[in-house]
Amino acid sequence: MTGSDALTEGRPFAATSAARVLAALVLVIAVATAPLSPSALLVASAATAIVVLATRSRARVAQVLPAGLGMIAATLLPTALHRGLLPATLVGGRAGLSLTIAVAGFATVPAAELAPALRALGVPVTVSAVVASALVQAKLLATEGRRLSLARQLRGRHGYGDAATLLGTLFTRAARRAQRTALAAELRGYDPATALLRARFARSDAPLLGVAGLLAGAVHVAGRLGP
Amino acid sequence: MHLADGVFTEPAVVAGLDLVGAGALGIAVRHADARDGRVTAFTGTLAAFVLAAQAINVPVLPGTSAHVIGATLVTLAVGPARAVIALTAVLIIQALVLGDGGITVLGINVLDLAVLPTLSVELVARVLGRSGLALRTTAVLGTLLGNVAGASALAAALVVGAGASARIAFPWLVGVHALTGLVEGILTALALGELERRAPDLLYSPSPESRDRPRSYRAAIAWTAVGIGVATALLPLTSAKPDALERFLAEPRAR
Repeated sequence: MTGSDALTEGRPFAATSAARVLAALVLVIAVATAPLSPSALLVASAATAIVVLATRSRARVAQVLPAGLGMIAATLLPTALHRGLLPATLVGGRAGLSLTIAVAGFATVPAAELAPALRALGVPVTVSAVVASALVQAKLLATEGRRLSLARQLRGRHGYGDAATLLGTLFTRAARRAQRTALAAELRGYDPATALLRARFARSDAPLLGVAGLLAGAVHVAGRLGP
Repeated sequence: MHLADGVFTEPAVVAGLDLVGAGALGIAVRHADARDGRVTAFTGTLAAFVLAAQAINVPVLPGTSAHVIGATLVTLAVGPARAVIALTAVLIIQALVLGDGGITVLGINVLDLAVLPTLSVELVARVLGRSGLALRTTAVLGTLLGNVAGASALAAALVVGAGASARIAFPWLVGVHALTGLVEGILTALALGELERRAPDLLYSPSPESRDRPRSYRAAIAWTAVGIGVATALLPLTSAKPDALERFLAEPRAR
């Protein structure tokens, strides 16, 4: 039994991480490319609601969504000024639904399982291994950055110059840590190309992938046939 | 600025630009693989650094702040190929974990936020140099050029693929990103000065053989041609009839 299988035990939708990522990708692509018709957007809204209800990380969805929606609004400003508010609202609605599905769908995948799932979907090992490495170290770096920033603020330092010093210090520390890690890994015979696990699909993935495929198809069929 | 899913109304433009972005990433992967067996751990840490650095916002205008992209720092530290991979990993994590940037437009984001800024910095670095004052000038000019190039490509994509007005998209996006690029460039120049003083060995110096990559240039041109070809071939199919949005707006009473 793989780590991914162990994590799916006892869940209502007992699918592997690779299947969760694939299902979320299918739905996001379907909604993002859906025709801008009321019926398609209605079915897309229903699909989004199903995904949000299925995820257990709704607090995380609520935490991440506002910034993403703000970014969509900023991107669509030129469209709103050029073509009017209604078209921009329709495009923004579709983009917002895509974003909600992405955030809620990928929230069901533990960070540690993301890179193996990407490998399973054909992402080159160089890229997925960098994703794995970055995910492991990002939290550590963010904590270190906050600590350094707080220490400098307590000493009364602020401004662009100090931000640059902070960036330089953080970068130097990160790079040194990377060098040590890489050397230690090399001495132990570590090869990222072979060490990074590739997640596998299982028979238990069929229901999730089937539902995702049906919802994706429904969005597009509604867009073609409906008003 | 990260493009989100669903903002484009022309799928052909998305497909074409995504292909170009994917092709550029493929070239970067091949370069990085061939050069150094330890590339992954180091590049991963740099990607994590960029993720963390993007959390540090600096004021640009009253009520507005901006974060660094990190392309300049990473390019001058590990070279263009690894920089593209690190920034792509950042974009993947942001799209899949943080809800920042789209999945169907990942290739476009790679093009605008990883490939073009990285190539701009590399171009300026090759002209000006990589040490002392030249390094800092490269940081400022390279970041500015990279931001302007990325924002221009983004604006062009929005005009062609999302029906945005060129008169609004270009000044708005290029203006904001030029200002952000200037602030980031100055910050990066100061940070590189710190880095050069503390750990000069961490800065990238290109090997002579890396300057001559005719096969890769041919591949880059081929991928660009494929992307443009796909977009051109599909455009008539998508524009033969009014799209659903146009039909919806043109016939409100029919519903």
